[in-house]
Amino acid sequence: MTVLTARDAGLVGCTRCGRVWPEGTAECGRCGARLHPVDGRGLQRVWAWWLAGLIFYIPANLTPMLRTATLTGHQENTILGGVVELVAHGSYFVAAIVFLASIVIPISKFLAIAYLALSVGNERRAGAHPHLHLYEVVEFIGRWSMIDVFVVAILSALVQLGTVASIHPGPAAASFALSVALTMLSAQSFDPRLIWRGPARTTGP
Amino acid sequence: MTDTPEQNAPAELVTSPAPNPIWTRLSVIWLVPLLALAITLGVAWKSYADRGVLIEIDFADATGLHPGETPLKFREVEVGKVETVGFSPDLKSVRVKIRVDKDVAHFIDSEARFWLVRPQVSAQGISRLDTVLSGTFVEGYWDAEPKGEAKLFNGLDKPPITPDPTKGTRVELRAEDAGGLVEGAPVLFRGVTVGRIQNLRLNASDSGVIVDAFIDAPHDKRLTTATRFWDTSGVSVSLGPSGVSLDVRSLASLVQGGIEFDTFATGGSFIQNGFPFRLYPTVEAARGSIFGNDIAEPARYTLLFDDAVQGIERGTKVQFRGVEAGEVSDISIKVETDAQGNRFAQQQIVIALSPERLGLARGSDAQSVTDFLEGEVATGLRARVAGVGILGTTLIIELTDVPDVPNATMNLTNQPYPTIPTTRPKDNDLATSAQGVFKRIDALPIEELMNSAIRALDGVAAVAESEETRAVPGELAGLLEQLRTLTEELNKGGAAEKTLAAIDGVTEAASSVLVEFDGLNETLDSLDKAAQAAAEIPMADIGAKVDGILGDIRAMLGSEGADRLPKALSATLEQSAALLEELRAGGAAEKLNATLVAAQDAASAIGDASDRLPALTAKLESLVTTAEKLVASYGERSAFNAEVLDTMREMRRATAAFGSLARMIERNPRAFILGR
Amino acid sequence: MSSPAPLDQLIACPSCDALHRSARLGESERAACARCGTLLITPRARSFLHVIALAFTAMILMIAAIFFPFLKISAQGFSHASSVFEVAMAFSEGFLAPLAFAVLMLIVGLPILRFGALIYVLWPLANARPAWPHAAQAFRLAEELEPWSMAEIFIIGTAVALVKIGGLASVSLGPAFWAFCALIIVTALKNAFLSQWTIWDAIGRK
Repeated sequence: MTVLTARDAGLVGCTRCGRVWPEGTAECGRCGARLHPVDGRGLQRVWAWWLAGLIFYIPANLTPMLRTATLTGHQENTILGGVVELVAHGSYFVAAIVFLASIVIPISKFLAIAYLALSVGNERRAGAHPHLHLYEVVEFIGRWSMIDVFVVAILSALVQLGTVASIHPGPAAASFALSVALTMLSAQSFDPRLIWRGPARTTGP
Repeated sequence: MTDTPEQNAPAELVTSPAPNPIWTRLSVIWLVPLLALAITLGVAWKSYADRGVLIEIDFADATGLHPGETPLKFREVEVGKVETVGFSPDLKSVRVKIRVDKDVAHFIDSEARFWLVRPQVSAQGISRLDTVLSGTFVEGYWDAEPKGEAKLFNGLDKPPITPDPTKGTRVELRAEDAGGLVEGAPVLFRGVTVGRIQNLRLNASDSGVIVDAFIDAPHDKRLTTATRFWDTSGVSVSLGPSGVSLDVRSLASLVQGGIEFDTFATGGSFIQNGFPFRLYPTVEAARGSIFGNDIAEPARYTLLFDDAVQGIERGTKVQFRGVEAGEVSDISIKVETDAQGNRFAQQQIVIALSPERLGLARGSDAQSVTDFLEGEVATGLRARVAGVGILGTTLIIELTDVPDVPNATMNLTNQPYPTIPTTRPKDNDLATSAQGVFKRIDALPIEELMNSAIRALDGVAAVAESEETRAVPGELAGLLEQLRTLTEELNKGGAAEKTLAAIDGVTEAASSVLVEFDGLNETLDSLDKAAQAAAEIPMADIGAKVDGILGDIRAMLGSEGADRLPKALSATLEQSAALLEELRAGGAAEKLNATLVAAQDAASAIGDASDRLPALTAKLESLVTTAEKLVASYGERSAFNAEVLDTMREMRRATAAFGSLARMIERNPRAFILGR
Repeated sequence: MSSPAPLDQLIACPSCDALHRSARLGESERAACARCGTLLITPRARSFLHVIALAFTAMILMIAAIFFPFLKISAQGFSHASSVFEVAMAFSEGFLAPLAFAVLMLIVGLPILRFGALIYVLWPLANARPAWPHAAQAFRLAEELEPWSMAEIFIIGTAVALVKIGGLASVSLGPAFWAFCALIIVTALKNAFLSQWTIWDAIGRK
């Protein structure tokens, strides 16, 4: 079935409140949000944030996330190292959660956003639902990657038992948080309406 | 436009829909935030109200104290937390504010004590190493009866030795110097640790030290006013009638010092916290102190001696019938004028007697002691100087029954103290025996014997030369001839001279021996007389008398004590040497040094004593040799000879052993202490 | 081409840009996009008042969560307590300091801001009065900040951390923890009761 889109009607819909305005209006009169026409210019923002997030994701995995100081000595763990340790200790559940939240989800987010951004060029009017679902999943799940940052924060704040055990956050925490934030921004900048139509026809009526 | 007739017509009411009453307008939903608010405020209020009381404790420094973390523990249960760490107004100490749980806060009274629990390494051991991991914490002690509010306390730097003062008694010990005492050293009773000493400090006038001893319950029940405390740290070496003795309580007390106590006398009353005791340096001093815990003042008496008595000093013991009953407290000279107007000096000795030791009831006053003594004096009690000990060189004043004394009474009006009649000093046993021997020699009726011997010989000669004898048959003549020959031989052999010479030698030896002993002028006189009278001696009678002499000598030598004396000495010496070797290897150097000094003193005392020993034994030996020669000159084969010789040999063995001991000590007094 | 209807009667689906005619809905009806199925108008199950009340509750709970003790760990005689503030401050060393601020914002600051904004927007609307000035901006702010207020993620993170150290030491949960859990429930309810379209509509009607 074909529907009339606001763009086709020469209107611009506000992504915030849904009100339509004539094409070219800059701001939504009701909610004050900036009105973006459905074109590919927003994609640049998506890529920019995405790249930044990716750049910060690298030190997040290479530098230590947690520094544990016990009676027996110091230990530094990266995200992956921590997962491996947890598995070695037998806490599979926690290891799975950390692995999911800190590795699977961010990487899949990168991939998903990239895929969405790349695939948006094609006109898919019919089978776009999966993409939309993908987008929704990405947007929903994105913030949950922050779990690991909070876990680090809680462990560092709580396990301060003098010389017996104390945990301190490592630099990976900051860069991981930054990476998550940037990918969130990247996902937010992605205009899902682009899934439903290709880049703006620069020509045409 | 019409004119509105406003002035006179009533105005229109302004209508508007009436608002519903507020309670219908408010939806139930508002309960939710109200509930949330109520719960929040309730929890906040409860945690504020349960917060506990803030107390302040001043410590010297705040090592290991972290605000918000360091706990306050009572009996190892956390009852509070350090909140802030600041300074006292004069900046001299750190003021720590601790918030104490409410349920224990009201027990904290002015008697509560607080201290820091940190790892401690000391002579008493290593403790609380667990605080290295868990961190320093503040510990407090208080009891269940709050006595007075207090919010500001002075914290101690280390745990008090006795955190719980109810479970024991604290006493104060006073001594002249700290000796081997160390803070925290144990207090022993019969070798069992029953308490600790703490708080070693100088007394107010810096003339001695005071230390607190805390005796745990239930042993503190043994403390009475008659209890004596003494210092058992280190090693004590003593030389006494039974030999050299070495006393080490335990290796622990060797290293860290210790105090022991015991109650030697009955009748003491219970004591309170803080009762002062005197700390004696050795157990002997503690035992021997007569007056340490007497209630009553000792009774004092004056003794007047005509002869100067050397060697009596203040503190010299006074014995009553063999039991130590007091000591000499003063010595002076009293100048008297006698009936002829001549002035003479008397030695005036004041003695102090303990009524208890005399056998009177505890707490008897001086009058009852005087009454008692008067009765004794009437039955012959006198005071005199006596010598005790191996060589009789330790002097005491003796109050004892003396036989055959002229009647005397106490002079009760003498100032400042009543007198007890005195008598001549008793002579030494050895001297008495020797004197007795020579007295017997003196008592020999030698002159009569010699006279009758001369007469007999004259008679024989007359008979032999008379006309009648010629008429006697030749056998009789021959018999008489034999008799004469015998007499001539004897005369020729110079037996008399020999005897004289022997007795001279004996006299010399004996006189040099006996010059050690006091008052032996009579003995020497006797010897002189004996030597003179020995010019002509009838042998058989002398032989009989000498038997008696031998019996005496043997009795003297055969007494058990004298026999065992050298053996006991050498055995003890060996033991001491081994023990000291052990100690030295064990490395208790410090204590041993002090001990060595003490032992050195003992050794030099021994040395002094033993200086005389070689000379003495040499003289004894020469005496024996001379006596032997005397006996040997009477012929080989008689039983009398053999017996005498045996006895002489025994005597010589004894003196030889004695001599070797003396020589060894003289050679190297240190050797017997340190081992070879 | 001219719009088929007055503009204010149209809704453009934010997901797929399809145009629809807006309609007043009944109490339990909801409207979805014809093409992509995105919910456009959610049922107004409860009134604004509920949202306000829940927002107040959430604020109170958040403040309680900040000030009450949060977690306490104890192992073999050692113990350490931590509040939410201290958790954020765990990053305060060195160059991680900005992260501490960010975490604090994410957990505490932004949610409170959102609650405040919601209350500001909805209060007059609940009383059937015109919206206060800048209500639109306020509501937009609240909506934009929604993915950034991570209180529930924080709690899940706490749960994960507790599981992680639960085997080594015993952790006791203070009142702040429970306040946070309640906060999450309240927030979820609030979001359920919130209908953006309705609010925008109400804001727009002046």
